[in-house]
Parts: sequence; structure tokens; C-alpha cells
Amino acid sequence: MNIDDLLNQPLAPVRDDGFSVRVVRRLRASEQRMRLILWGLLAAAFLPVLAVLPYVDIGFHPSAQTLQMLNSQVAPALATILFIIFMWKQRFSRL
Amino acid sequence: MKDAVRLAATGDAAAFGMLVREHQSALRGYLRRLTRGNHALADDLAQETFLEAHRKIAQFQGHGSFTGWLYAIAWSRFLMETRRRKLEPLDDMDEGATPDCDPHLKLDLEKALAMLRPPERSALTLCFALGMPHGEAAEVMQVPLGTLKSHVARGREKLKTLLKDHAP
Repeated sequence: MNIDDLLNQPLAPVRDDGFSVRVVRRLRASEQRMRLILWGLLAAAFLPVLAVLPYVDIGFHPSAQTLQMLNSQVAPALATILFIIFMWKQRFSRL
Repeated sequence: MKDAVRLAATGDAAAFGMLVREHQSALRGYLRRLTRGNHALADDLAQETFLEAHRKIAQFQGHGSFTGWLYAIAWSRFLMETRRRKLEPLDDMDEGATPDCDPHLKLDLEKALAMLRPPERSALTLCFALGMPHGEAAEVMQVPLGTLKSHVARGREKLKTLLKDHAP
């Protein structure tokens, strides 16, 4: 057989056997890791701001009614709901 | 640009999954040949290639083919790996032969290819088995066209000599 004919033989097909699924799974895991790192960095960057906030007059003088609402159970519940919606959207928007 | 590539560039994981399924067989075959039949290493390199392609897909502007761009990543990954460690010699061949090919000749071809230098092995595989034009293969390997042609010519001559000894 001629050398060129030999070389022209297509490569033997390689069965997928879950290879593609593993690649996509790794890809998603890596994206999730990057997202967590990003949020971690944002939180770390924001923490010092939160720490000094009570001592700084930023011109925000909430009314007694607003303060009462912030101190109630409503604010944390609202924040939790917003957080869950945000995370759910992040997790499932790409499926 | 193909729709799947354009969709994958917008972050569509399903579209990228389609691209992986479409290209995995040929890419893994190419890397298996480059790694002289080391299937585990070839598959690791193929995974890394796809992950890097996903990270950089937004940079792919559609100049040249997506296939060429993908193989360029694979070739550079392979080079990085060969710098890191010496590859194992060919020890098993479980893929079998293509239907219209004498299995003994095929085995000899793989063995003979394994004895070539990596750029010759890559150039011959890209230009012959994968049917890439010389210009595109040169872009994949990041070498001038003349250098690519030298790799092809030198590889062919070496193969002729090597296969002469194995002729039935």
C-alpha cells in the first residue's frame, strides 16, 4: 500500500463513553467555583466598609418608621428571599 | 461562524456541549497519535483543550475554522506537556483498524508514526488523516508554511524507510 494512502486513512473513531458529559460537568464546576471566588472577594472587599459604616455620617437619617422596619423580621426575611431568588437564577439560568 | 460556536460564545453550556460531542472523537484521535497511544494522557489533554476553548471562546472571532482554532489549543497543550515530562512509548493499541485497511499495516503505521518527532507526527496527521490544508495546519502548529511542509516531507521520508522494514 502506498504511503499516502496509508496516511490518508481517517483516524480510528473514538467512542464518547461519557467524555463529553465529564467535560461539561467540569466546566460547570469550574464556573461555579469562579462565581464563589468572585462573591467571596466582593464580600471581603465590602466587609471593611461595613465595619466602619456605623461610625461614619453618610447623611442617611432614616425615619423612626424605617428604623422600626429594619429592626423587624421583615428585612432579614426579604433579604433571604432575594438571596435565594438570585442564587436560583444563577444556578438554573444556564440549564 | 457556526451557530453552535456563536451560541457557546454567549455562555450557552448546551451549545458548547454540542461542540464537544462533535469534535471529541477526532481531537482525541489526534492527541492519541501525538501521545503515541497514551490514551489516558490524550484524554486529559483533550479535556484541558475543551476547557481552555470554553474560557477563550469569546476571543474566537471566526477568522479561520473553529476546528483549526481548537487543534491549535490542543497542540500547544501537548507541547506544554512534553516540556513537563517525557511521554511513555506506545504500549497498547485497542482501537483496531479501519475497515478497508490491513490491520498489520495500520499497526505498523502507528508504530512508525510514534518514532517520528512530534512536529512531524502532528503535521502528517493534520494534513493527511484530518485533511487540513497546509496553510491551516501551519496556523495550528504556529509555524511558517515552509516549516510545515518540511515537517511533512521529512516525516513522509522517515515513514517510508520505517515501513519498508515492516512490509509483508
